[in-house]
Amino acid sequence: MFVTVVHLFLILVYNSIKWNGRSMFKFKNISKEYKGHFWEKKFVALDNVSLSVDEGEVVGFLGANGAGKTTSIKIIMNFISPTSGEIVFDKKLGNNTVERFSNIGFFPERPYFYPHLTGREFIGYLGQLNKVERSLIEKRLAFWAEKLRLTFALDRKIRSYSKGMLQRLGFISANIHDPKLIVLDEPLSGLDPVGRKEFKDTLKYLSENGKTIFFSSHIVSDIEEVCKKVIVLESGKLMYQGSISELIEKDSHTYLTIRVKINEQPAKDLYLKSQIFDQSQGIYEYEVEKRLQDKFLTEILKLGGNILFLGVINPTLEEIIYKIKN
Amino acid sequence: MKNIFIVSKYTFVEVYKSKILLNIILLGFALILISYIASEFSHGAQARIALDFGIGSMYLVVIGMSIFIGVSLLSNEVENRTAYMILSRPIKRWHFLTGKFLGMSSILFINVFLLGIIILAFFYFLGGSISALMWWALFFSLLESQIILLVVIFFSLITNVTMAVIYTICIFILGHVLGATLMINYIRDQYILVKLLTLTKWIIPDFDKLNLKDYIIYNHSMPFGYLMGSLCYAILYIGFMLILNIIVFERKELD
Ligand SMILES: Nc1ncnc2c1ncn2[C@@H]1O[C@H](COP(=O)(O)OP(=O)(O)OP(=O)(O)O)[C@@H](O)[C@H]1O
Ligand SMILES: [Mg+2]
Repeated sequence: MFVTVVHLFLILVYNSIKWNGRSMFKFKNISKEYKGHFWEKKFVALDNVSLSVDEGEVVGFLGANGAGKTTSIKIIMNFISPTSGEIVFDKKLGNNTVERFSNIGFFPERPYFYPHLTGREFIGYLGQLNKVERSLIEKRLAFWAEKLRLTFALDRKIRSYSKGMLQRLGFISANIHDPKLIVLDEPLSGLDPVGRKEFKDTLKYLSENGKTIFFSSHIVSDIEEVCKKVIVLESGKLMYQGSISELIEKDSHTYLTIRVKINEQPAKDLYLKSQIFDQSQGIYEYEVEKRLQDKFLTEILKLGGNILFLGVINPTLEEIIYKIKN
Repeated sequence: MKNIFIVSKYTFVEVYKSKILLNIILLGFALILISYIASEFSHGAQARIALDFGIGSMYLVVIGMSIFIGVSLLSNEVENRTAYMILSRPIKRWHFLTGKFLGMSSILFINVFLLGIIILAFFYFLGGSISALMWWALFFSLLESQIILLVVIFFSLITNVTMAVIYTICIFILGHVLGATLMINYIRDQYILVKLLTLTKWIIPDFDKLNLKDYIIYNHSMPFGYLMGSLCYAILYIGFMLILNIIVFERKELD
């Protein structure tokens, strides 16, 4: 008898741990309608969306302009309330909105700051609201500013910051309280290629440190690089939720572009398309299926060709959405 | 509660660093210049005219400031998404709003007293004597500017910036003329109109109660009971408007 009770109890505990260990937050049938004035037609920005983000995952939130990404994120952050449906957070984040916010790091799309404060003052402000000790704020600020190459500008007024610098400052502010869950709206927009790479590396770094990350983007390759899981939204409807590699692999559109300097043409069945790139120098460009990549390259080398360029053509957002629809 | 203090501190720092205060001091000296020129044209009552002009223009400057800074205080934050930065932290919305209000109030406080001291010093220099009532007048101007600040915040929460400014100016004017309107004989005969205006007078802040400017020029004192009554009225009104703003802001969709 006693053993059975203990056993049952253990099962209960196990299940609750398992549940707690799984979902950081969940959308349950969330819809959001925007109503303008009473004579205007209402607009459905989110239509019965259910999704789940698990602990420790990096989840990309993919959708075209106007798909409803920002709307969803505002609902997560309690800035707006859904018309129907509910959002459930893991108890680990806290029992109410205020408690939860000490465990969530967020920064909005196109962030804007108080222009007359310096970067350091602004981070100090937010750190204090998060009840982080002064010395710890300084320590974390120094760490992140170093990592994101912003140290030089910390004592300048924010008014003088460039777009990329603002983005970096926003990123630091989202991490100043060492949150469990990080929610970012288009963190990569407005950054140059080096900056994008840096941000993606930073996201990977955070993920390796056990953070759960949820960020939106409309660029497939960015999400592919950082995330294992993707959630795709289109016109307010959930289109796909799951592994990103499965989504892209299944896609028949994975080609390579290979540019070679060659005198003889390779066998026709090794490539899909060819075009003359530079007639006078004998440079051609081929579109090759990924599975035939190795065969094609050996053939070129055998023929004495010179490989000048090789690039992967990633599927675009439109192609992915088109594919999901069919 | 500590959050209220943090928000008000940084609101203050932000405005302070924008060099508005410096401009206000310059304005103070401009006011002195104007009052001086005005007083030169008067015969005999030079100091009084200077005081009248000085206090009057200071009052308009402070009211203008509370309208134009107040209107952007929250609506800018919401439109520019700085509010998102703050409200995504462990802070209650009403703490944020109250902190903003207090930070802005301290800016108004500094303005009123800096300008006030400059003007009174000039008045003293011209041979006038400073009375306690003059400090009350400054204090009441500050209270009025705080009420205006809360009114403009209220409107900026429910409409757009332009309309908020227009509505607030309307309230400001009504708050000053309603009392006088009720005294007009023609209106006193219209029963319904009187009832209607009295009702409006109850809702709209009665700025006549806070207006000591006319008294300080000629009188040197007012009954203490009157001052206390006005003070209580202002404090109650400020409390009422603050709660109203909190209720609206707590429910507002920040999109
Ligand atoms: N306050 C609002 N009132 C009315 N419609 C709105 C409001 N906010 C957003 N919308 C509409 O809701 C839809 C979704 O907007 P949302 O900002 O969520 O898109 P998004 O996926 O973030 O797009 P983007 O990639 O451009 O940032 C859009 O069509 C937008 O016009
Ligand atoms: Mg968006």
